[in-house]
Amino acid sequence: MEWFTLHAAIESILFASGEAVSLQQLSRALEERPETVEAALQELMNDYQKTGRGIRLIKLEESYQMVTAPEYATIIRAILDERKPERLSRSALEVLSIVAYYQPVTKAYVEQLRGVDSAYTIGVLLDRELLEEAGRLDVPGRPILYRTSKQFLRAFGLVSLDELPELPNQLKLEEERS
Amino acid sequence: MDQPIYHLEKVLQGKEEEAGDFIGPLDLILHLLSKNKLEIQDISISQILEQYLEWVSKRQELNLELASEFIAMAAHLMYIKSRMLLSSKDEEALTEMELLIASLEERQKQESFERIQLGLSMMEALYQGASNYLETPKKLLEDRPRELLSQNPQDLFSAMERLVLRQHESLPPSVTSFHGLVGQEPYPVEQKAAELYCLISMGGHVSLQQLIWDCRSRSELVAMFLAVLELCRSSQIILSSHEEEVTLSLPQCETAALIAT
Repeated sequence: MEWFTLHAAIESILFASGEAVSLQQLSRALEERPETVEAALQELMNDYQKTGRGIRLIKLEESYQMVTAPEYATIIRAILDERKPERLSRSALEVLSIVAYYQPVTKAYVEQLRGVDSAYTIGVLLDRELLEEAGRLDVPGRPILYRTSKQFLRAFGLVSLDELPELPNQLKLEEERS
Repeated sequence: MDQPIYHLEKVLQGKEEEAGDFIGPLDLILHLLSKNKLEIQDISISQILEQYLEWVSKRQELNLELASEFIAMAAHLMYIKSRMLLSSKDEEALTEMELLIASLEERQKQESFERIQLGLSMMEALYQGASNYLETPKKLLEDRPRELLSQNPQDLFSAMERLVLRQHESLPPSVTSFHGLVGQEPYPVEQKAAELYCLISMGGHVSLQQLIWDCRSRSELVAMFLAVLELCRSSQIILSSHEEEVTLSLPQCETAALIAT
């Protein structure tokens, strides 16, 4: 496929899909090697960014999605009459962070760290698809393990879990204390 | 002069345990464990004791103050070690170890949570930032993929053709089919009506029977009858009957007007 045509084809697929499409799917559909498709995707990504287009390409682990440029979020919401998504509650943020940094974890572990019952918050986060189940821990009781979902990456603007910023370390902790 | 540089060098090496304080002996032990990449469960009392004492002595070398807890912990560790040396299955020593491990884990969880707490505002910021990347709203139901139709415009035409053909069969017959009848009356009704009106206005009234006798053909009769009805409808004549005799006459005012002239 012509280089330029490849760009256009990727664009149209991502637009029509609306949701994230995996690199594999794209490569199969376009009958091109994944490396080629990836390179084209990267170019498109940079292109949208540099030329200040209204759309952006984001990467979620091995998938790509077309989204709007953040600068225009306000005006889009005004027209589509969408409310800004609610802020996550402090509890939700706590639980989510614990799972994010220590995944996979059980509900019991989360509760031990927080010192409060977390069943409700975990339920809410599961509903919002920010958390997902990840098997069971092989101990008596076989409790469910939880991990963050791809939706979590999307909601926090991360490409992968590797991009999670480092937690402040002990030194900072002491600075906070004194 | 030398000592400050010595201090700085240690700091530059990035070993914060030399430069900073530990909150308590447990933190120190946790730090030593992580340095050696050990899990809490795997600690060997000898290793930990060795490193702990090393650290304590270094601090003393630098003439830094050491909290009593640290010394107490050192003593405690030595106590455990000595009992284990005496008998590796020493129950009290084992329980002490278990307690140590338990408190280490407890401390570790606390520390982890504190770090999470510090990171919350950063997570919040990420969330807010990413919320401005809007995507197509997700469909609530699973849609079947929409099929694009591929029809020929010719198909529309053919469909219309068939429709028209069907219609042709139920259309009212065209005017030409009635060519033999319509437009060829020997006695047009309007003409007859006019004649009739003249007749009535001359005589004042006319008997229907007379009119019927005067008609020479059936067509004339039909036309005459229709004319009477028409005139009645337009209120130009009045029908009245008297003992089986029907009379046509003009309405009163007109009779008067005629008599006057």
